[in-house]
Amino acid sequence: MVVREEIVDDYAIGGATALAYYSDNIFTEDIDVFVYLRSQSPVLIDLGPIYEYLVRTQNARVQGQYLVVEEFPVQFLVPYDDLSREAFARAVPVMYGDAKTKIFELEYLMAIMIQLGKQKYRERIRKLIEERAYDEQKLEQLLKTHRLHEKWLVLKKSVEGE
Amino acid sequence: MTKYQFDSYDEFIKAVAESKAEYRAQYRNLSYKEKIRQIVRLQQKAYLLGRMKFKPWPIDDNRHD
Repeated sequence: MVVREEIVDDYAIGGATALAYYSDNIFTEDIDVFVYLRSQSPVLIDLGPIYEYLVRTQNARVQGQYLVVEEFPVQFLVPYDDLSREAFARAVPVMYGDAKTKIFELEYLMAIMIQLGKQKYRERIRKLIEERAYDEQKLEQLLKTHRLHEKWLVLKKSVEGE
Repeated sequence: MTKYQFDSYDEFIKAVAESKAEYRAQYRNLSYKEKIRQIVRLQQKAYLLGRMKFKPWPIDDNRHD
């Protein structure tokens, strides 16, 4: 909708909502939507027009860092570094019912979790390793490119020992 | 209730692994919408336990794609 109305130029779903496509038993309360705003300065990014549009047309409300749209807490994010920009650029199309949407690839979701290193990602990573659902070569290459490989080796050794 | 009996612990572990693999294969074949409904089912449980800041997402639980 925000793309159709040219409020944003492109978008992709990241975070746990995207991860659920690849792995079962995922729990999340919110939806992370990465947006690309071509018209905006790379230094100062204003998400105001998105919020304003959704509040006006969808009766959305602001609650903390979320915009609650039809009872979906959505966090709008702008790709913030090389890794998230690459994840955004390589997002893959999937169908949600009759609608086409885009989600981050699994290896990028994993790389972002490794990069952020939050405690809650540990279990998700452990499960993904157990499931062997990801492309190991692709992940390794990605982590090397973004200088996260050492961090990954430490994390992998740690969760495999649990 | 179905009862399962195993002759050894190894057999039990093997059965658990097979069951998990079967479940994962079934999950992979679900549509994205159905996968999102699984999140909503977990949200509904968490909501009943008072562990949600928000209401579960308003996705119809009775439809199957």
